Amino acid sequence: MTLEHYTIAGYVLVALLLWGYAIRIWLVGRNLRNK
Amino acid sequence: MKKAAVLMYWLITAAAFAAVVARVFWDTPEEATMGIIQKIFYIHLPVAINTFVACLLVFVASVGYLTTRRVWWDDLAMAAAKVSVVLCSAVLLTGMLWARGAWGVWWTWSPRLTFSFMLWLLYIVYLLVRASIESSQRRAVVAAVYGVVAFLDVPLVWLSARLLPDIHPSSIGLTYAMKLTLWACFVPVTLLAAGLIVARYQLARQQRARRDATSIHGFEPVMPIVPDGGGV
Repeated sequence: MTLEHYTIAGYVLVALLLWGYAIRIWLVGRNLRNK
Repeated sequence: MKKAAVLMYWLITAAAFAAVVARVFWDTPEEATMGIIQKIFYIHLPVAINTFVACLLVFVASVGYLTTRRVWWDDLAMAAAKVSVVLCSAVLLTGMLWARGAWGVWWTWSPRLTFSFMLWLLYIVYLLVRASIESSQRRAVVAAVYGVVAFLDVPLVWLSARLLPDIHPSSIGLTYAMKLTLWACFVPVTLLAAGLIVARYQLARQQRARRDATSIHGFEPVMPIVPDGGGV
């Protein structure tokens, strides 16, 4: 792995964590409303 | 109308996120000594600052609950704590990648890294403590006291690299273009963190309303219909 890979991995991980959590909140809220 | 405004908020946040990532990689010069790995700093610092703000919100909401006993403070504290764990995870992961590239190791027990790891553990334990108490009133009181005490680690993280000998830099010399990129990165990260806290808070209110509707005459069911946090 080069330094460029580590740098890109950092941004990808942040995006996955934060946007993934946003999608999870939305899905749980949608399921709750549809119950 | 409200739905459209929320959708617009998230679209603007996503566009801002994509724009700053493009600026970081295609329009920001590389730092002279560290090279491209220093570019992790532009996302690492805003996420770290937003982690501190989320922890501060847990502290404020915990004090709010202890002084007023209003349940929405408890919901706000829980929402901020969950987001602070997600943000702190991102801080630790980006920090580890930066450390591997700049220092050649994934992790070292320097004061700032140790206090940051403690911060992550403290808020994970906060959520575990909440999950382990069935009575909602008792849970709110214990969590609020814990939320006040856990915040004491935030100034330790902030001050550790300034007051103690630490391999972690306390400041980095940046050119004007680099500073512009750093300030630009604060925009989507702050929008994202604020959006997550608000969305999680609204979900907590919905879950509480559902629990209250299913409990009989104020008595809580033995097994909560919608558990605290809903596993999110």
